Amino acid sequence: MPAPVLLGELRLILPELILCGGALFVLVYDMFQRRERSQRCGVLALLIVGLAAWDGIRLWMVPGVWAAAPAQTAIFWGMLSADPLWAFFRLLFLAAAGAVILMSVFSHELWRTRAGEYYALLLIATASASFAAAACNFVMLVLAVETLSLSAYVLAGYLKGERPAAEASLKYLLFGSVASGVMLYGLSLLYGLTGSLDLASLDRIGPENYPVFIPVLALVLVGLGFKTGAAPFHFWAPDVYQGAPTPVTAFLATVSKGAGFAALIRVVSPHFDAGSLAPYGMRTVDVFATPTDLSSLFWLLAVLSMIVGNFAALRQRDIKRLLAYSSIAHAGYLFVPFTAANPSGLSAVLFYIIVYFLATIGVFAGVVMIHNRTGTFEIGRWTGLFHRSPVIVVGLGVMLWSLIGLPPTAGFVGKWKLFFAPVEAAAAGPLPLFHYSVVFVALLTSVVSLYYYIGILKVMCFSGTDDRALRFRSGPLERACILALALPLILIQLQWQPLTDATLRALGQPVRSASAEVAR
Amino acid sequence: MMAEIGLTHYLVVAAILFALGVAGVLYRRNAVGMLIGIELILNAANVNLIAFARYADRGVGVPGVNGSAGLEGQVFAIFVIILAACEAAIGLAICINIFNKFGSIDADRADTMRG
Repeated sequence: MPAPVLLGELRLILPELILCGGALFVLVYDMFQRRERSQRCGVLALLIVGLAAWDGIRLWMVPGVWAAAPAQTAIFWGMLSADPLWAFFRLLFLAAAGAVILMSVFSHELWRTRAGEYYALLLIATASASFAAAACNFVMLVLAVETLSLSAYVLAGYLKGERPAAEASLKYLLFGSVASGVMLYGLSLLYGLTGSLDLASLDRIGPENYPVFIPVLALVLVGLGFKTGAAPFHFWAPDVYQGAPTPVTAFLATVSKGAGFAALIRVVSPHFDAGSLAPYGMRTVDVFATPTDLSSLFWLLAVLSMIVGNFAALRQRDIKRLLAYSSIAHAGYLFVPFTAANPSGLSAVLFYIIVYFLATIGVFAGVVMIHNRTGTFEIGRWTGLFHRSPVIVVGLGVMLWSLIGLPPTAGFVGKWKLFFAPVEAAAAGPLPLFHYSVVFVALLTSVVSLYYYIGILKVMCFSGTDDRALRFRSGPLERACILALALPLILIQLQWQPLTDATLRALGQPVRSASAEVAR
Repeated sequence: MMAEIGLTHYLVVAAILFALGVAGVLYRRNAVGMLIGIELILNAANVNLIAFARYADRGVGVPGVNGSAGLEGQVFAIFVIILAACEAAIGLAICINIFNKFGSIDADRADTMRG
């Protein structure tokens, strides 16, 4: 007999309960509002997210909540794992969702629409992203990821009157449904192999099953690869990013992508401790010295995403399309440590996700501000922006600098950590060529990314103010927002130990002392 | 003499359904046709889940794992049916919106963004 659900377990999902209840409340509240007052729902949604975040912080801080053994953290009959990793991702998603809601409130794109359903869907999507980060059963994983996807399909097409939005939602729906269908088919075969839908049951796979197991897991990776926006499952991204309202694009680039990575970490993380994905495949050294296991699938995803994302971004003129390819490239960077499969790589992934969230939210906030005043997403028409509002341009510059990964910003620390994981594995393991090749591609494509990010800055700073130039002067609130998002990126570069400690704590790894980190 | 229908038969049916579904999505240009293909893929997964759940206690899969989990697969199948229903509802709503904007539900017509 399964034990009854304790009230204590409900206490552990209180932030999600607040979000879901809040979504229903926003819907009902909007029913009694006149159309022109509909935008008040945004403020309400912001309050709900704040409330959930407040409780999320409490769950992150209280040490007694977390039991020692993984078996003890499983709640709701092994559906969710109430551990620090969940608390970490929940706070991250709530922060990003708060920023997205703030963006939506100020974005002119959404002003003429009825806002109740929009914010309700945003809240539900955030809650399901959080559940995806906690799932330790495939049923829960699929339900959470699908709820997120279904809300996102509608959000992408929320501007019903516009053709690009309609097209974006159709493409997103078709690609997303096929990807999740393939993932479900893979999961059904996996269920046949292991006889259980528990994530932990993956350990039961013996060497005799590898020839079947790796293709099956590749099917599962299709679904998660789609959510993370990695190539070759990226075809939806540019069109959807371009057609969706900008705040929704920011949501897809951060929360939705982060949920994909969180679910992926849930699937593979137990095996990072062993320093390899050995339980996931055999490492046979052939002529090319590549392992025929899961890490070679990750190698493929990482290398393809970095190359496709960075090179396709070179010829983009629309800022949202460019950011779509940039986010594909960043999915590739985030896959780099998965090829190494060592514990330090996992903490690097978490670290870089924070940095990436900050920079991406910042860039999209800047895009919303500029679009509000100019009504254009075309980079070529942002000429001379620096002369009108230097603060916005400097703030955007810091974020783009961080996305490139250049020194005075957090992006540098993040990328250094990411790319260091395979180097470590190469030094320790039998396959140096395999690990060094992915680092080589990562560094090379980072240099390529320099070109298009700097191109945006060049247009804003150095192109003359001709008569097409922007009539745009930033307000104090906008300047404060941009600086509030840009400053942390500088501060993290100066002092990144607290963030590293947080990622280690989220993974349940021993927190290293500050001196040991400096010595590395 | 008639052979008994075993697990393999179900798996083959599911594989055929899956292949038909993927082919439908790839080769149909009508958005509703593509949605039907997606339904086939989801139902392929369902057939697999139910078949594995039924035969789980007969020593299929990893040796040494006996299926106390037979129910798990059936429950998952019910959830997949729910998901398919949600997807169809949202998909058809999006198709109506596409028809309003583009005058047809041909997925190739709704392909204006390039780059």
